[in-house]
Amino acid sequence: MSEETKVIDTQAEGSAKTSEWQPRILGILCNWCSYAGADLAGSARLHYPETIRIVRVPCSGRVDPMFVLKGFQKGFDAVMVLGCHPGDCHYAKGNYYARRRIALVKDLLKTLGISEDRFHFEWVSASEGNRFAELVTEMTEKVKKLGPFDGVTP
Amino acid sequence: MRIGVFVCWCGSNIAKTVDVQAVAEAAKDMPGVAFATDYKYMCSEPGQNIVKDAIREHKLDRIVIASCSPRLHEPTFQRCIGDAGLNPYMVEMANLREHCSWVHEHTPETTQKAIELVRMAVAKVSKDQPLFRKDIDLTKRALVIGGGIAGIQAALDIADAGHPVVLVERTPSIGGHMAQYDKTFPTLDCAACILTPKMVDCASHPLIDIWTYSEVEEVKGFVGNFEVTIRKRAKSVDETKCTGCGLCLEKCPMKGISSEFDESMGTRRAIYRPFPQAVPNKPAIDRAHCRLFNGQKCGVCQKLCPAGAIDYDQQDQLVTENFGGIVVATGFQLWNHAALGEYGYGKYPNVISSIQFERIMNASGPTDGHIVRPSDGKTPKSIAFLSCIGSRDDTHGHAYCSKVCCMYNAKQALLVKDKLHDVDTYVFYMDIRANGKGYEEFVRRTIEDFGANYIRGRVSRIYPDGDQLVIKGADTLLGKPVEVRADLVVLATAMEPQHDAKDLARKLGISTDQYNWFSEAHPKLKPVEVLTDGIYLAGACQYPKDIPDTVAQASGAASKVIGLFSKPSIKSQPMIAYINEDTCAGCGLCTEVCPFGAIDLVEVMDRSKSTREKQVMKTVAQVNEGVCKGCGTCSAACRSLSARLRGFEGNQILAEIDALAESKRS
Amino acid sequence: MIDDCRPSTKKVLSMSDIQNKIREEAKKALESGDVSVVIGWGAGTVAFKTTPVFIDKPEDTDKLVWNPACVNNLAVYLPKMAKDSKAGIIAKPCDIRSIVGLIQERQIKRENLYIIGLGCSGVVDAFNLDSQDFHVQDVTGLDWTSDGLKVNTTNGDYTVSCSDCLRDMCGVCTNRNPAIYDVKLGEGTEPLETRACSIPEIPEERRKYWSEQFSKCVRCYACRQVCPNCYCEQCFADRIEPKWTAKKATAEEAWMFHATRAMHSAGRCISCGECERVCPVDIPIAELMREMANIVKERYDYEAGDPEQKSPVLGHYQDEDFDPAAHGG
Repeated sequence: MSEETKVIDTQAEGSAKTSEWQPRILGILCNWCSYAGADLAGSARLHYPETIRIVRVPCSGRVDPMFVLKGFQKGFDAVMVLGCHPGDCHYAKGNYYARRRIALVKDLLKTLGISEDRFHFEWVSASEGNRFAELVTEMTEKVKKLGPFDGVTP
Repeated sequence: MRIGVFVCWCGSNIAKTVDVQAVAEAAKDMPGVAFATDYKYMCSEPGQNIVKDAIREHKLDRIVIASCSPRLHEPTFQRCIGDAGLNPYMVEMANLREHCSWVHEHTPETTQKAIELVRMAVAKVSKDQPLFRKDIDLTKRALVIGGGIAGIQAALDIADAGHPVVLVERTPSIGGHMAQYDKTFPTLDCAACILTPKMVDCASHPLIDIWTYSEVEEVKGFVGNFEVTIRKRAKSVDETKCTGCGLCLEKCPMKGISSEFDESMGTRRAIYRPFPQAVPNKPAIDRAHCRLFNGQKCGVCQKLCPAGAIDYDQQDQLVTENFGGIVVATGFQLWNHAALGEYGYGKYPNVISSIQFERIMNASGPTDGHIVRPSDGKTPKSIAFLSCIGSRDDTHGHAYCSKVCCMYNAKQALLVKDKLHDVDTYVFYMDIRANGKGYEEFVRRTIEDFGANYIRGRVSRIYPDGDQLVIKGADTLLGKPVEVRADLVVLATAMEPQHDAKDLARKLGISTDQYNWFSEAHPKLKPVEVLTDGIYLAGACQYPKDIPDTVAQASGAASKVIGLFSKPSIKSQPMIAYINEDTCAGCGLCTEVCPFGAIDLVEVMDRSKSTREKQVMKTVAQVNEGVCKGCGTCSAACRSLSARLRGFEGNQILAEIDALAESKRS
Repeated sequence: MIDDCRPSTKKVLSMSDIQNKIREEAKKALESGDVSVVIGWGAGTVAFKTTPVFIDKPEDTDKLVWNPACVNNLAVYLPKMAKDSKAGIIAKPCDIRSIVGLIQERQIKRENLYIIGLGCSGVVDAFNLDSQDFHVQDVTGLDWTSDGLKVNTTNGDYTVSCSDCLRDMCGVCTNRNPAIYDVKLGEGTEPLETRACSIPEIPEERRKYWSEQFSKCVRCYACRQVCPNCYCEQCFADRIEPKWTAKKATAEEAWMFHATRAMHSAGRCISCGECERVCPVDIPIAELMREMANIVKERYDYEAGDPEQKSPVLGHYQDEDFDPAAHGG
């Protein structure tokens, strides 16, 4: 139960925004760094678009490439996998294995013709709430330009 | 399946931007949901009672709490539903606060997102399986890393509670920075007078082993059962024989080595102890400077030593020991801004750092407590203290406040006036931060009773003029330039993490912030814990702290260790990997990727192929439950989906993705 | 065990000479009781096809053949057939790379294998053959000569240039000699020039391309069944829970199946092309696999089926590995 902070009422601005198409981004975040970073973005009241839905996994090493493929198959406009910086993994090495796996899934997506801009892989630490908020904002803008994803097999 | 959904307002933290009632209403229509409600503070006692009552009344078997981050209150609600008779792991949390209400505005989309987050949690909880914790033995022995005041205090507290402690320190003596100080603010207690008795207590405590000149090499294991390899560097002195007579210290021909303890204001020899009150009071040979180790003829210390304690052939020892808990108390270092050359440090001998001034003031320091200028040994008539050198200065990588400088500036300005009388003191400051017990009063005393001239403003330039230094700056209160002539300039340099803090963090598997200070588990509620169970922080390795804060945190860390050791055994983490042996093909990929070597290949009976007459064996992977930490790298690697992770099963994550995808359609 | 000879254009023995030697070696192995079975190719019902045969009697070794139609990767049978007893196998260099992979992934033990390894000049695609001056059904024999494929038919002999009849992966294959073997017969020849990939360059077109391909998929799983790497006791695609891909034959579900299979094969596929050969609807699966193999090779300097590799490409890492986060995420 944290103390309340001033929330600027931006109802008017908010409803104006609804007319515009907003992408849906699937975020798969490791518990110890990136999910904590997203939490920090919250505690710091950093605002970012309400486009991302976050699935929590213990480690980026837990990210089965199928999670990413499924995200696209199910029609998410973008998928984001975030983990601890190399060397900072809570489990020492999980993110290094993730790095190879995710690099390959990214290549596979490219081979299958899914725009690279729809998939993002990055390291976000527990202290980088800022970076997380920025990433969601950037990703949202990038995907907005691409438009809705019309499926893995249009 | 009867799922209960409880939507929290978190006062107005969630309710202000999310229509919590609409979320609860929407939850009622989600698959498997038998009951949904909302309440102002779900984590409060009445809130938890709502959950417990609903479990009984509506025969709920799975619970979704839609409130804050699971990283904050998951354990709270696990306990809560456990109390109500459910398996504690049948709860999932929808993070409506950190990931939704706090980061979005009050729009229909925000409420829509909240509903989706709840739908995701409902989908996951519907695939939850009861999980069980196992009892694991623990080693009731603590490791304290760092022998400064934080480590000393933690070691004493733990040992006083009856548990053995190993105190590891990398220099030849415990004592840390505090041993270097003259007096301490605001009471002006002599630092040595309050520290050295504690050092002696440590040395004489039957349950404390002090390993100086030693460093942590590797940390394996987990809470209750850490396996730590420590390098005991060769001191070239057999501690069991050395009596600490000090003869060698006087006769070593390698003089004039800059003393680390005296911050280069004094010298030492190649065989040395950092200071006369060192604990253990036995010397070590600094091989980098020793004549013998540099191919020259010597051996004086060995010839002289009456105890025959000098052993040039001593080797580093790698010792691996088991510990149940670890206190990290590695402290800080001071920013070495010599390289920048700013303010003439390193160029003008009379520009020194505060810690160097501390050594000059100290009665057991290089000048025996006589306050003199390094350039000519004359007593200064005018001293300027500059605060925030590197601190609160993003351009030099320290955006933070070093917290203690305002106070020691005041202390030094007071003490120097007290000792010399005929001296003018100037303190250049940005803000005076004196927010401890008796601190503000102390600063007022320095200014009012001891005539220190406080000038609010930054110094732009220092240059020599004759044998004095001219300090040019601006007085921002008066709004005009200011120029001060001083015999001595003292720079309050920023505190920063030890240069190798990151390496230690990696060895321990703990995280650091952007400056490399060690990160606590929660800034408010878990300031002593880190995210790895069984490891606790004490002192300035976490963030700049003064002595009272350091000692308080050290005792806090110690009490955490004592609490851990008060139990006969510890409970295992249930969210660990397991293998479906029926479908495992025994390819061994999981054994290769496991960061902990927790998976082995074993021969088991192949149940699908064996008959009563004939046993068919097959090779499968098996998880060592005591070693697995639950990262799930194995399950992501497993192609046949045989390696699985409890709590983050493939079907749970798939359910989450599917639920979100369905929300899109609806 | 590693053979360091480079592919050579020398043709010392004809395929029929080698075929005789294969029969001799197989016979010896069976007679000595060293192996209980020899897996090889036998004559098909038509001359341009062969079929896997499992020889367990020395007198049956005459059924073994070696000709440019010996396409099957026989390694797929090993996890079951060489599990408890020693089996002999006649294997092309690519098949041997599959065997190496299976040994590395602990599905078979080297000591349970007697490998008759063959130098290879590539095998032919019966469909390509059909587009020539003769009818495939008239073919009576095939052999490589220095000019190309010699085709004996009921209407006379023809010579077809390699590029017109080789299977796609054989054209670009650089592994023409067995990596491990107990007996080595024949010498491999130099590969042809590299062939162009048919995956479109433009991402948007690629997605459409694969969409068209996958929409043909009938989910027969022939590609999986024929693949030596697909030895899982239960495939993810057969799981009911979690159901990562539904069994319905829609392009989208087929995408999920083939994309996952491509990930599962990354760094493991040795490009034998069997998946593509058996596909009843001609999905160019091998192309997808080869693209992944190229990436793995380029990025991690890793090739599947190399006996020198200590750990699978996804089973280890290096600190300085390519970091996608440093390349635009």
